[in-house]
Amino acid sequence: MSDYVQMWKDLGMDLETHDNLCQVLPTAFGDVYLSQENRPEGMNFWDFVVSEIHGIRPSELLEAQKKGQKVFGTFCVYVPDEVVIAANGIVTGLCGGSQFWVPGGEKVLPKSTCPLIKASVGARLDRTCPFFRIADMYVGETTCDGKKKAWEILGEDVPMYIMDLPQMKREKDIQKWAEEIAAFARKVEEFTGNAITPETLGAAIHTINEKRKALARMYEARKSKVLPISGKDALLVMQIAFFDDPVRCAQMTNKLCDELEQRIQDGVSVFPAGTKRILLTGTPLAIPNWKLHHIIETSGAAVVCEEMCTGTRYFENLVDESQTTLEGQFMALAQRYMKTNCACFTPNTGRIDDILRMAKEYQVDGVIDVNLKFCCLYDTEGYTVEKALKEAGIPVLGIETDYTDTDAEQLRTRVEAFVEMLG
Amino acid sequence: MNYYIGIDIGSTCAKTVVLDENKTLLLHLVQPTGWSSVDTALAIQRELREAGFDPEQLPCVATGYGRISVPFADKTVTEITCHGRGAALLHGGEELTVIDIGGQDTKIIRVEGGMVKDFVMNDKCSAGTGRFLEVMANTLALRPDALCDLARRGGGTSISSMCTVFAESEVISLIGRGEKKENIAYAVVDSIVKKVASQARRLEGSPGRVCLTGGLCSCAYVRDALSIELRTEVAACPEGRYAGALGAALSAFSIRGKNV
Amino acid sequence: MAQTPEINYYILFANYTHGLALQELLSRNHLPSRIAPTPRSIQGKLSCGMSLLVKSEHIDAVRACIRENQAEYYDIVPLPCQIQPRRDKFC
Repeated sequence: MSDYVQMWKDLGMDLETHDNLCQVLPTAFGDVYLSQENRPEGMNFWDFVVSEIHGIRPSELLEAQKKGQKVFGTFCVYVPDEVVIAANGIVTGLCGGSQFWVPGGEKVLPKSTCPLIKASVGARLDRTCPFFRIADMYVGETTCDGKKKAWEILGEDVPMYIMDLPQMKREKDIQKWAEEIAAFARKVEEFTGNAITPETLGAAIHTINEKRKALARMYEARKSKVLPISGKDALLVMQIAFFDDPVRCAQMTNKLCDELEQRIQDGVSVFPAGTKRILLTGTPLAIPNWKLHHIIETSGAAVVCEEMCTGTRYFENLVDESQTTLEGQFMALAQRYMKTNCACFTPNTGRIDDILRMAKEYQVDGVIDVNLKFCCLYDTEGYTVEKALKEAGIPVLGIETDYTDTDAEQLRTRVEAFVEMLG
Repeated sequence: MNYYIGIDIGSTCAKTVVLDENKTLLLHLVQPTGWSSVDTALAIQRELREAGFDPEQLPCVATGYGRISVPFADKTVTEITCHGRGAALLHGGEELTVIDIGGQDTKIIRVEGGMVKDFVMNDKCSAGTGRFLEVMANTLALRPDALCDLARRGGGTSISSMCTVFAESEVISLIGRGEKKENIAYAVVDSIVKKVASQARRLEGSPGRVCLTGGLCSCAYVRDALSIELRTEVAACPEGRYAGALGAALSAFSIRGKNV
Repeated sequence: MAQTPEINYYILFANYTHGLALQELLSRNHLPSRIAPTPRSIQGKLSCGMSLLVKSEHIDAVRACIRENQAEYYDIVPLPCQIQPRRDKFC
């Protein structure tokens, strides 16, 4: 498919730099993913998507653009995909999970910015991410100070729309978020030239709910004592869900789940009995950030759940599908999205409740609270998280890390010691 | 009689011990880790054989940074678990807080019922580690233990930077200003002690006594300064640097199939 | 400790349609293969990202299956195992 190179060139990408990423990805993917034994057949789809990661989906998006569809690049699980889809738009995630992009971000951002923001800005400015090149509009939100200022840099030459997310969860905040969603809908209508009607929005809500149900079904399978899928594989499914077509994502995930449920019935596990079960909580793990999962799963433990944006926060809670007016639908959306518990809210006791509930549901032996370096919000909330877990008698390990490889050996020591501690 | 070998390949030194089944310490060795953990491991193997303990024949556990480079070890256990168990053996007691100041990292380990219950470890930064002391001693043209002894006589100066690189330039400017060596030595130890104590406070409220292990536990002044900073008696014993190796040897007790 | 690394075979394709078709064919014939990103060292001028990774014990059967069905592929390249789970090089 030599047309990928042509496509990247046409997108104005820096081919030479981009090629460096293309060189390391196969090796890392081999070490992390293909070293696993007895993986579900169904993972073939995701292996394939990774093999063609900057080719296959971007070329689909370009095709769609030729037919007049608009592509919206988003950064956060609070931005409602439903609104974009209702106006025949497409939502895609953007690059931001690799050290490869960090130096580019450091050219313009303070050193003490989290790696996710640095990488996103770097991928954009260095022209090494096709998704950033393709998106017709970026949609940001106000979930942290670093991002708020980054939008001002990212929006220099691509339309940038910002949703103002409340920081508390009072009734009036939910009301305000419904208004923000309505305002976003007007912007999307104007930008796409397509009207959003109760019918199109209703259909879009249904589509995204079906995707949520499929992802939730995969997590349901991970609650089993017989673990039919590794944490790494489940993470990959989540990471790619941000980029894929939502209907296909639901379809492929459901197909995978058929296999996982069969495996549970047949007692087929990817880990030996007695492997320690770990709940990961904390900041998002954007593709291709597989470091911690890999270290945990090569240290005698398994990740059984991620209480993260690239995890349960992405799919928990469905949007009420019974509303028939746009006003009712915007409110239903607001209510669903405001149930998501991010450290940008104060207080954020809902997240503690989630973690304690999940620790039970997923039968975990211990929790690892992992935060990206310089994420002040999650780092500070770590105190509350760890305190609550200790009070509940659940062992917890706090880790702060970034995208570099240099702390791998130290992380291994900590994780191994934690697993030894679990007995 | 059954024998158990523990090897702790740290970033600076490799420590080896042999225990008998009554947990009596029969042999202890220490050598610089040098460039290659594998070469060090082979040198240890030779020494053990000469002393009549063949690690191929006896249960042997490796720990420390170089733990994966010991080809003849039956298994590896992290230094956190090993220091916890080793300190519990040395200091007798099921409940204790272990402060291990290692060459490259500092760990605070809470032991309850003889088992590691919780731990904190410094991140990539070398502040508050043996490495920090080594760098500063070098700058002062002193051996690390001499620096510790000298520190007791000093006072009145402090180093404000936590970063080893910046702290070193602070020390250089103190030298340039004509500050007395013992005062600079005092500032160096004070900096380590404050950093370690702030880490230890993360596990504050842990039951049992506090004890120091690792290479610095032979420095009486470090122990005294830590006691004052933490407002509690910090215990240390001369075998403290072998705590990791002892813990490894204890972990070897569960290895079956050798030692008939 | 030093072992001769096992040999893996990478089947390369001109495009992913051929790759997916062969994967499908092999799996129907119960021949294990995994979709893998093509290692850069053997990709050459091809820019198809996917390859099929086949273990040496299955390669003869896979070759036979390809011949029998005249399946399309570009090349089959043996490579010492590239997979090192403890390398700790992430991207």
